[in-house]
Amino acid sequence: MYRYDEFDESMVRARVAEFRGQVQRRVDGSLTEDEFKPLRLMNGLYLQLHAYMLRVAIPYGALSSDQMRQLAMIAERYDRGYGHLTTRQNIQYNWPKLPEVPDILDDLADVQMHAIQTSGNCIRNVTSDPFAGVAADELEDPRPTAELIRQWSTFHPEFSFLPRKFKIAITGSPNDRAAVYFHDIGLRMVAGPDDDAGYEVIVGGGQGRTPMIGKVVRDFLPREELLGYLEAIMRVYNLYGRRDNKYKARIKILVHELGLEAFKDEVEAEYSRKPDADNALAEAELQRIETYFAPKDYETRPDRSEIFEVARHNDPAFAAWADQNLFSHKVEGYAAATITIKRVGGEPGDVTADDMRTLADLADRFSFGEMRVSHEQNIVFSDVRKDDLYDLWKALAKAELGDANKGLITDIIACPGLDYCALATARSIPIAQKISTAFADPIRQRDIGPLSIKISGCINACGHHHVGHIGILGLDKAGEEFYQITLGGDATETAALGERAGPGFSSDEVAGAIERVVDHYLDVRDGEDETFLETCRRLGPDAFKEALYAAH
Amino acid sequence: MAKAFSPKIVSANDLMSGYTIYLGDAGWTSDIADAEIAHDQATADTLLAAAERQPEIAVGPYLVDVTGHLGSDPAPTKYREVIRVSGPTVGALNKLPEAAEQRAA
Ligand code: SF4
Repeated sequence: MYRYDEFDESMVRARVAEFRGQVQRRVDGSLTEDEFKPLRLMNGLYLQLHAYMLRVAIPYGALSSDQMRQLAMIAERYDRGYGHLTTRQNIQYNWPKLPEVPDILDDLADVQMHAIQTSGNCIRNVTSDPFAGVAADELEDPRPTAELIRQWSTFHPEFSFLPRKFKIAITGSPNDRAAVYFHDIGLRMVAGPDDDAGYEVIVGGGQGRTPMIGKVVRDFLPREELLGYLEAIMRVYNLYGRRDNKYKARIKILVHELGLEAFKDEVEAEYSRKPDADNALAEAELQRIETYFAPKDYETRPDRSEIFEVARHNDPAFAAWADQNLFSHKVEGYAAATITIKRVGGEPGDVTADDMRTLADLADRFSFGEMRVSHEQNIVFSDVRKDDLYDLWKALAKAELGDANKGLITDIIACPGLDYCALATARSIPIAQKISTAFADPIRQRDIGPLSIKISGCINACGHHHVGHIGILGLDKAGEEFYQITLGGDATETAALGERAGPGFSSDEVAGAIERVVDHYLDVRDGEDETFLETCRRLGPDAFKEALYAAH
Repeated sequence: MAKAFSPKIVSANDLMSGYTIYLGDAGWTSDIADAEIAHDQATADTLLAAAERQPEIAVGPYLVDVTGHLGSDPAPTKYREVIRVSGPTVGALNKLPEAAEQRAA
């Protein structure tokens, strides 16, 4: 994992001290709320429906067990004993009190964490594949690049007041688990013509009220040119991005309005001026960063583990978890495990302080003391010896964290919605709870197979509903919550936006509507191997309409 | 015919805790039952102006439509405001007695 150097450390501490002074001045009346609001937002502090909310950055989702323990301590000391994992691999606290926030930030700084740039019109936390660095299908580890971008974008003076917020994601695998087509900039690590390392650069993807799939602006960018090229994109955006209309201010609108070719020309023209790009420096820095991500101290082991195979044979519950929640590791004898934070009837992504400590202790025992938060609001242990998987799972199951539902219908993504969020038009969490309760039966879930449901509580789409195989968008219709359903969305390399199925449903009707869609899928799928998404693509979303509105 | 005036109260968030608060005749309160109801626009404007003069307590005061029958507590007409009264409808941890106490504090 990356560790702060002295410079990082003193920067973060100075920022906490500065914010402490700002809070003090707000409380004693020397700052008005209008003056204070942008300052608190720059430090990740929002004001929501019932309380403040502090969003803590977890760079590309990577957490050490000590950091997780500190997050647990903060949840208990300053909050209500839990935190919420977000779709951008961060964690949010829902109940911090203003005078205590500087103390929380100091406690975060003790474990090299902060809340800087988790809000505001700046470059936000860089996100990546939760299996980065260990995935068997990976071309190259994206984390050093993600860290390089994090350092470059943190406090970048030129990009602190962009037309709108800006999100970058990177994947090192051809199988996209970082939704790179749905970010302001998406980077895919690819091999160049001479097998040299570099990136495919995708710009202008995004969700929100105008969802768009990103477009490729450069098929191959040599790795040492990355920062210079990103700078050129940011400059074009900073110059031409609309500041007159918040809803048209994201880079996706600029790319769309300008047209891809004209946008590319602008970027290439800017890049040819070589704004401060010092490729040699960037390359040296990347190499320095790479040393932090050197392979772990793996043991040499056979790929097949007898202990694992025997346990799998004897314990069907473990077998179900192993089949569903494990992911192929690039090192023989190891696996990556997803721990879903999706208890049936629970709140997607909410982790209690006890959960956090359990996860930290288990990561120490079984995964080199590290874990990742995934954008699916789950936790990944990236480096577990296959021999240890059964022990890990037993410990997880004891803590009710051993559900075998990764990628299944109950592994639902949901934003906080109207239960917390000031921008919401409807609740999302109770809808997730109703659906996961309706589909609680693990055998039925497995029979249905891979199916992602994603729920947002308003058009801003933090719950990624546009790219859910089934997407649910909560709206307000004459003061009542009502929900629109989309079908066929896909966040991966076969990116697609879901299509609206028709009129919406009331909150009591949604779970039943989803059951009808799923039952119809089970009736019409072309054998058990055809996934929901494949059936949806084969027949078209319209094929589900009759079922969806059958009893409506 | 002019549209009937919908009664209003003033709500905001408490500066220190961020919690939902209402303007009552004896100052800010966390209990909507104690909120002062404006039955005409002039009173509503006066209440809001009074709230805006207290930035050291209240963040972002605004008017909330309520049903305001005589003798009953004001009840918000919009779902968003109903949730602001009751707190989140989910999360066992939000409903701990301790948390409820904190809300009232
Ligand atoms: S999608 Fe809307 S309701 Fe959900 S967290 Fe984002 S802004 Fe809030």
